[in-house]
Amino acid sequence: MLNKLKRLDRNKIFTVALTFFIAWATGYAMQNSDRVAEIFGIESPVPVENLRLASAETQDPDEMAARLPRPPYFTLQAPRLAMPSGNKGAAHEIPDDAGLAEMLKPRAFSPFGIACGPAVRAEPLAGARVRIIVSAPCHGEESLAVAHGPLGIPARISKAGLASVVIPALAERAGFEIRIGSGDEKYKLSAEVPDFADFERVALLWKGNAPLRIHAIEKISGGMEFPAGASGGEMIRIEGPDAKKAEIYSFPAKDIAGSGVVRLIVAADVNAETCGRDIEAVRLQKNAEGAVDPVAIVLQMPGCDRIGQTLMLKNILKDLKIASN
Amino acid sequence: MNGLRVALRAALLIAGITTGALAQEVTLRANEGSLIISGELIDHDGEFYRIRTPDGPLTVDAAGVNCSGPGCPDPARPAPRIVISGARTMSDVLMPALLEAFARDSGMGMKRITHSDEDFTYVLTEQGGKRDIARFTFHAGTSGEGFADLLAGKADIIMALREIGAQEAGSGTLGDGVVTRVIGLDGIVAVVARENPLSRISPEDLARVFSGDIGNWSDLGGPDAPIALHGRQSGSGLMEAFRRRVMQPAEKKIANGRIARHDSNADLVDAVAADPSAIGITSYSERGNARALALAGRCGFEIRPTAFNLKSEDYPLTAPLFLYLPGRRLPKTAREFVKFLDTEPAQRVVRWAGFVDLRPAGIPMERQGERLANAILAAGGDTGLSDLRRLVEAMKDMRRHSITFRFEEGSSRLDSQSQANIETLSRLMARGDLRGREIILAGFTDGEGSAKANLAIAKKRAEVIRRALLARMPTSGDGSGVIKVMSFGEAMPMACDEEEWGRRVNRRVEVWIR
Repeated sequence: MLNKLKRLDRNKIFTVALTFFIAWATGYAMQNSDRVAEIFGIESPVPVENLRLASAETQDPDEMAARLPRPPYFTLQAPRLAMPSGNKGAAHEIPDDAGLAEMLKPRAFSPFGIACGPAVRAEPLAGARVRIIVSAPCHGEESLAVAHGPLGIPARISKAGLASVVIPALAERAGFEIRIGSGDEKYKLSAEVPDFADFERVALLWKGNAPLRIHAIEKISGGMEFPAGASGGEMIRIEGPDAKKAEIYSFPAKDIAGSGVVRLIVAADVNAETCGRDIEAVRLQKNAEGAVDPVAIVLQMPGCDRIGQTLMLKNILKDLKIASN
Repeated sequence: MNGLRVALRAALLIAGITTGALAQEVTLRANEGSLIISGELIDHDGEFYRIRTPDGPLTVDAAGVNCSGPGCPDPARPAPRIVISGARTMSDVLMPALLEAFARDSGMGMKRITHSDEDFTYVLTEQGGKRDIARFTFHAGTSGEGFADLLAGKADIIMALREIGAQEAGSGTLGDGVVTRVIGLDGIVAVVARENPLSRISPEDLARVFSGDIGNWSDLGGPDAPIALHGRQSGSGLMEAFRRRVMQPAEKKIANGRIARHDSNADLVDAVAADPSAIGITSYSERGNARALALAGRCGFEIRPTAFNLKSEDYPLTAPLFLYLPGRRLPKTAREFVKFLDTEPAQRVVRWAGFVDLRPAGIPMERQGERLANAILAAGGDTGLSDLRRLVEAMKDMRRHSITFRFEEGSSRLDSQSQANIETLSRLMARGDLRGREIILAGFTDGEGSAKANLAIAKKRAEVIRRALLARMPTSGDGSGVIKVMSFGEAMPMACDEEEWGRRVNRRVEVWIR
């Protein structure tokens, strides 16, 4: 019978069948994302969105056919669907159009039967932060690199292909770039951070092992001194890939009762590695126009006769003035 | 080779060699052919030479010529270095922030190389950081050290919180053409810890505190505790301004042996804020967590250091931020930086850094409750409530402008500051914010003399200003607003007449705008 069918008809049947299959797979994934989350003990189930699959609405059979994955990439142990028996023959005859093949991932479905996606989402969080949620079931246990401006935050994707990273926002409209595994593809997304203006945030970024720190001394109202954290400010340290380091200090300027100042000091230890050398860093702080722009800093460390001392620099970061005096 | 051909067409063949020792003198020889052009190098942007010749300026393609002479740019030579020396008050936050804004504004990249808080360099680069354009090296300490560097020719720009003294200016070695620029306004502010109940002090008491004549807080109505004095290091422009404006009028000297010295305003205010028995003198821009004291007179009127009060000099202890520039020509980037300081973005940086910017401001009637209350309390005797009513009636929809004219006792003469204010005001009326607005010049006096005489002198002062403003108006009468004169004499004093500084604050003409 198949020999009598025209090539187009064979493709058409295959196309229709595939459409059902894809629709089924999508439905499965959507219904079962909660279940997946349950199984792997993840608190907030992550809906799988933005599936990058061949659209079921595409009518052009040639285009559809060209976007099919090659047979070796189907690893799904799916319930059997009735496929036209001549399927294999038809698949082999699909023209190999290199240009369109790149639209599909090497594996369309993970071993757990979830579409590869990947899907990424950015959610604003209280504290002028953003949570980046990644669902990449075909990249389980691979690395994840999230970049937010000059900040680079490493993470690891779980076995189930999920990852969640919280990042302090450096802009009201925060842009992110995500790279999964060692792939070349970068996913760009952004989030509006509604409470961005309520926080003062400064960051120091550098590469390598130089012992740099930010000291934040909060002198508010009663004239007592609190190290960062006791009076509302928060210091976090991020150690990224390629020995990249970042110290980020955030202060909830809006919610603080009273007035005063937060002294910000950059401290650098003089040791055998740093003495007599230049340490390069980047400072992030709001400028007079209210925009955060990175400024390159070079610390000229004291000579090796001063090993054991710490270089304290009070003017690298501008002190935060809280309310008016 | 186009540029060279252009040069060839534009110029006569010049084989002349200019004599003289022009620093920018260059001779350009064509790589091919025998063309020689000599003159003064105006500019070199890497691609073209602009050279001034006896026949006019020429633009020559750099690729086609060889440059010789003292003015030739040396690609191997490092970018020009500009040394900035002087007051820490200006180098801690303000000047670096101005350089950063200037670099951003000019599309330049920038890097801060820090050796310490006093010694650091800003390198301005081409976008992308490939080529250094200029290096601004800071040696920060005190205004006095800055002036010493200026005299020794060791610095290109001086930051100072006071004007150079006659002795410092040396015997003519200062050179011709030294220029001062005011880039913003600071204030001399006394601070105490927040636990200290004191909120105001008279300038006389302040002088007695810092001379040691008043040694215990109980003498000022506080607890029985010795007063701990804090000040900046000697040579500090701020301390020198304090000495001249507070100690000298009271004929007192600072108790040098009993004052704790600090190298920066931040260190000083942090020490004061941590000690309830401390008092210190700092910049308006750096009060940390300490409380700034208002200036008060014996009669009880007080004036707080605020941006508006500093602009209007209602708070009299103002300290302009000076830049001293040498007579010699600075490198191009430095000249452009100095020009940038006048712009709106630069003035925003001045405010952001905690200082008072140079732009005039307005304040509505509602925000002057304090001084109206004082005026009502003081009313009675010669000046009745009727004068106050007249004032409130006239001003209630208007805003008081920060430009305020002040006068010597009994005089209606305009001093140089007043002349400068007339300039600013007439410019604003012709082209700026005050164009087409109704303006009232309101004259006030101190309490000396009779109320009637004071009404007359106040009116005279306001009229002098009105005449001076009208003299600058274009005669075309473009409807640039109406200027009215009102006189209130000794009604509504702002400060206490018992003290000279208070009387000086009171002798004024205010500018009100609708």
